[in-house]
Formats: sequence, C-alpha cells, structure tokens
Amino acid sequence: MREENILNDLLAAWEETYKKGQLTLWIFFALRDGPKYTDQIRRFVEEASVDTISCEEQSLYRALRKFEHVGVLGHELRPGNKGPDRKYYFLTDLGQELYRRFTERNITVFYTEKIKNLL
Amino acid sequence: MKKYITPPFLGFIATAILLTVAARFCISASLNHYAMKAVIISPLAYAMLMFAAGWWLGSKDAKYLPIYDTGFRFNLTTCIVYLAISYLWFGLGFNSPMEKVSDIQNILVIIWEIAIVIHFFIFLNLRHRRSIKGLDKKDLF
Repeated sequence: MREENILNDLLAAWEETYKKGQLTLWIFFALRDGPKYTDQIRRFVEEASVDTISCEEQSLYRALRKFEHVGVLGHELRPGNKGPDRKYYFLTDLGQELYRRFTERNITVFYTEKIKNLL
Repeated sequence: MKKYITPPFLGFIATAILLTVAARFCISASLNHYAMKAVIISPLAYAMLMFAAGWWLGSKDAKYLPIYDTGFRFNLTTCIVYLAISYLWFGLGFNSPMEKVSDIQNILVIIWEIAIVIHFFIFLNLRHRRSIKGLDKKDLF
C-alpha cells in the first residue's frame, strides 16, 4: 500500500513536469485539425488527450494571445450562434512551419522502430 | 504599439492619473492650511501607492501577456503622468501660492528622468536577447 502511494506520488510529480508546455502542442494539434473558436479548441484538447491535458479557460486565452502576438496564430471573425461574432483561430504559415519543425525534432523520434519496441 | 497597451496597463494609467491628482491636491491644500506634516506625508504616500499599484498591476500585466520590457512602460508612464498633471495643475491655477512651477522639476525628478533614460537603454539591450517579438522567451511556450 505504501509503495502504491509512493508510485502515485512519483507519477503525479513526473506528469506535472511533463505536462508543462504540453498545452502548446495540443493547441497546435487542434488547429491542424482546422480553424476553431476557443471552446472548440478546449473540447478538442480534452477529448483528443482523453482528459489527460486540462485546458483551463484562462490558460487557453493567455496561450492564444501569446501565439497570436508572435504571429504563429491568426484569427478571423465568423458569426456566432445568436451572440456576437466568434474568433476562429488558425495556424499561420509561420505556425505551420514551426509545428512541422518541432514535431520533426521532438515527436517523430517516438516512431522509430527502437522506441516503438520499447513502448 | 497597440499590442503593448493591455487592460492591466490601462488600469495602471488610470490609477496613476487618479493618484497624481490626489497627491497634487493634498500637497496644495496642505500648504494652504500650513499643515506641514501633510506636506511631507502626501508625496511619500503617493510614491508608496504608485509603487504598490505598479507592482500589483505589473504582475497582472505579465499574466495577461508576458511583454518583456523590464518595467519600462510603467516607469515611463508614471513619469509622463506626473509631469503632465503637475504642469496642468499649475496651468489651471490649482496650485498653492507657496508652490512654484519650478518645483515640478526638483532634483529627485531630474534623477528620475535620468534613471528612465538608463532604464530605456537597459530595456533595449536586453530585449534583443531575451524576447521574441517583444514577448519573454521563457514564458512563451
């Protein structure tokens, strides 16, 4: 029982560190899937990550503001349901290229035969 | 430029205007009533409240968008608001007869203005190394 508790603590600590910075990748995944408004991005991230990535509204808005500021995201306004226009975010050419290079260097390594066998 | 004017920063500008008007009023009124303790306390309270407002709204500003400016926007804004309101105060004749317009540019304010110029060069120097498009590299992803 004690070992199980330690294991859970270790897992939680590792996941906490591992998940820092993961939101960026999941936002990029969401927008690779097509332009989306904030709530759609949040739902995509939670569903696609099987609820392993929590997507708090404030964190998401802050991330979108930052990425738009540096030019990796853009947005266009489209009519919302009865309410005001919605901001649909999309990856700019710079964002697409950033995603391509990042995944090439950091994600595709998991698909090598050696690592696949270990997984 | 518009991207650097965040809601917390606008809040700071409004706070700076209110506090500066309040400080000028307190100083002029205290002089008119020969309340010398209040003449000393007013600018000290103003400085402390401005520092607290800058600290609090500065941290909110960083949470809103991590603009890498080493606090320069807040420092410059405080100085501009102080000078603009002070000259306006004298221009509109709200000052006490014991105050002179030359008091606005006292030695502390001159030191402050020199510090702002130094702060600007520090900001320019660090910005190229520590930011991408004006945002802090370490708080971007």
